[in-house]
Amino acid sequence: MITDAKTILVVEDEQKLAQLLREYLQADGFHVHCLHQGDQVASWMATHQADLIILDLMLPGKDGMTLCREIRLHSEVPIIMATARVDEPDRLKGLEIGADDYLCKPYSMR
Amino acid sequence: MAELASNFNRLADTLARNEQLRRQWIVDISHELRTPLAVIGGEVEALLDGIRKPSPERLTSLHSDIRSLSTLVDDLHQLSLADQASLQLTLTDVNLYDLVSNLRVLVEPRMADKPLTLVLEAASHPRLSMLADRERLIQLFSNLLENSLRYTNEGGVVRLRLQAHEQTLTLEVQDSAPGVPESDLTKIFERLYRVDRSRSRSVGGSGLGLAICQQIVEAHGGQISADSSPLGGLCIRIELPRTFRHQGLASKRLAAS
Repeated sequence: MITDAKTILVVEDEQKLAQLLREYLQADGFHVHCLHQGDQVASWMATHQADLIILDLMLPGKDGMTLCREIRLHSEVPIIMATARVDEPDRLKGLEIGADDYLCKPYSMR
Repeated sequence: MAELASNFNRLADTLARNEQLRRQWIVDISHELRTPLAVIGGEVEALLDGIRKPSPERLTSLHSDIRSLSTLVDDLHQLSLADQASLQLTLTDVNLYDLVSNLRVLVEPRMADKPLTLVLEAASHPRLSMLADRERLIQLFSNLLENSLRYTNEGGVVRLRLQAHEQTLTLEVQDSAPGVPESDLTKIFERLYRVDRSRSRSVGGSGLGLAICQQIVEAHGGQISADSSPLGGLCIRIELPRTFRHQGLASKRLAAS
């Protein structure tokens, strides 16, 4: 076990995708924690530290856009938004609210 | 002249609105296809990259993902057929009681697995016969039962009520909790509508089942509606005319669009 491994929080409601991301990122030596609902994020972040967050846009409980804005109120952690929506306005909105980058599904894990 | 101009404007508005709906529909379908494709693509890449080891379970799971995609494409195809009013009906004399009883035998074991209790309330009666497309009705009732099976909490009840009236036959599928919010009851027949899209996707619905049900019912000259069920969940009510009226389908379709 690498002790200084970075932790990545994956918030993705499609459990199979979350599991794939976990396996790829773990193979690259990261610690990975997966959440499947938007409203689970705040309580997880209250007790854990993430070095990067991969955030799905459409989530049950609380959507990715709202979450991103809320996280930015108290944290500068890098955030990558992931979504199946490719509309340009969404893309811009995602970055304006403080996301660092943007991934469109289907993204390749490679 | 003014009337002609206003008619023309109205026509132009309708065309623009239809075009807008058509574009939105294509965006929605692409979205609907992208997620399962992302899963299948990712899983195959993981096998290729050696992140995952191939096993019979992995392949079975991939196979079932591909099958759900096929179902989605089949459903889309059927909806487009009905859009062109070319949903062909093969009419025979169908006894709804027999048809529903046969379906019940098929679906009951899966209901029992969840577990859910399935109750059929109908008197076996010659008056429960009508002229209809047997295969389409089987598809209609299976879709409704599948929905209840998927979206009713464990330990719940699904009740089928079949009734004969003077001019019509009615079928109600009532289930127990959870229900659908009042404001969403009219939306559930919209294509790709899901009460909670994330949860439903993992449960496996295509979001097209009820839209297809509506088209089958309308092709038979009937009506379908949704309400809260006395059991605490959803109640879908179908009213089918005893005497088949195929005329009016095309005009109704135009009026609806």
